[in-house]
Amino acid sequence: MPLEFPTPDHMPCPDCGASVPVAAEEAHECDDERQLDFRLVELGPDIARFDDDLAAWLDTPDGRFACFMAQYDR
Amino acid sequence: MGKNADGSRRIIEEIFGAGNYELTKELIGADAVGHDPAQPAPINGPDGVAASARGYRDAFPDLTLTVNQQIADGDYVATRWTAKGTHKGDLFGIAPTGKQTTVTGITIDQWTDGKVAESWTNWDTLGLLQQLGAVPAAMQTA
Repeated sequence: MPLEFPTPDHMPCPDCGASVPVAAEEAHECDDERQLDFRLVELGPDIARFDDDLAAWLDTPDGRFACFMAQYDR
Repeated sequence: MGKNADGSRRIIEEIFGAGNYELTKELIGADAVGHDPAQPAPINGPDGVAASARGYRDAFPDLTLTVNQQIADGDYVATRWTAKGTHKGDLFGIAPTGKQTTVTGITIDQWTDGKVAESWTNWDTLGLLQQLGAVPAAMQTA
């Protein structure tokens, strides 16, 4: 009998990341809270990059002026 | 099951599975040596086991381990276990993926005077890397 490339018994759901048995007979249903957590982790690098870019921009003359105007208009 | 098997169960479920690092002082010998294929060097003593468990729990903060089966033979206890956790911290240089993973493993502990003297673990490192997407889950066929 030829050996096959090993595959795990469980794989994460591509939509919510939950560990799902590969041989499961019942269809998996995503949990909303887990799906939200999963998306936040997936987007983590983008969120961090946005924060860094925003911080850098706020340190420019335009950014400082925008901060001043925001406080002035408040 | 006897006292040694109960200790092996507590190491897996309480130290690695619940983060009770203080328990290492009670159950791991001062000169104990542990072998884990995912660790670059042998794991030494209670502090080494605590550091190892902490490393896994930093990567998988909700990590739980369940003992599936134990076999005891003299000073040796073999434990088959299943670990489940969500990847939320850096692991082997892999950034958090948010994916929940399930892996199985077997640990053999050698007990001396009520503490683990040496331990050998083999667990499904390939399966974990496949579940995290770091390694293909199936070979591509032409």
